[in-house]
Amino acid sequence: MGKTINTVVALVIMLGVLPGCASVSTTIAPPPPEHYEVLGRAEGKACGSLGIASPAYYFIPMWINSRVERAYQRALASVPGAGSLINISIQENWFWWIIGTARCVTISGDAIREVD
Amino acid sequence: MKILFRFFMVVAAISSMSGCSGVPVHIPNVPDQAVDWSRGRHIVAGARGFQLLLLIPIMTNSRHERAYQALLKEANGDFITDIKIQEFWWYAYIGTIYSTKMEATAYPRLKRPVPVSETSEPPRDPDESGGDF
Repeated sequence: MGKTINTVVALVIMLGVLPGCASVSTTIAPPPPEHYEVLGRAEGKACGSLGIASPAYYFIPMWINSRVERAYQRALASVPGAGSLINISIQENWFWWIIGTARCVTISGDAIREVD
Repeated sequence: MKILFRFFMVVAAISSMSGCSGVPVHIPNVPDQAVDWSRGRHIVAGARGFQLLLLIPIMTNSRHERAYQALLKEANGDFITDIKIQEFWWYAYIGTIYSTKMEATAYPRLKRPVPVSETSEPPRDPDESGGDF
């Protein structure tokens, strides 16, 4: 009986300490300004991984928590003068690369600039 | 012979690197008709997936699309903009749980369809009151 309780307590503790993480909240579709001009199609991609070495240790984040934010910033940077994006598309790809799993986010959209 | 064996091992290792593409989500954040910018409300939705043994995706690839569809459902036909996305992950011994949270501000559409240029100006600092999914 005591052994069962110990096992349950150990499981609860293990579940309670599962490592995890959250990215920053990134605005990908802000309200468009009243007047704007479309500058062209923008696209940005950013990747991050969870690894290293053995599946038992696949909880070490490598740039994975900032991938959405970096993809959005790269999309904006791909069109000079762009202030924000409209008609956005977001897609995530992933691949396994032996010592980790990589996830890549691609954000594309029409780059716009506010005009008077 | 040894070189040939190594070559096949490398080919097998490379070919075993699996990967997959998520469902692309299209977000048309330009109103197609007049919107009442004074009555915005904060909405939140999310979706989760599990990557079993790091290679087998279980509802992982569709979670962005499901989160966006859940957000549209929360909007109940209203125009949504100021969309924020936040990603979470948890290690779960036999895999990884991935979760996507989407937040937005929903504005009621007005009846009269008008060109975008005639809509009133959207707010600069929409309400960011909290909430969770």
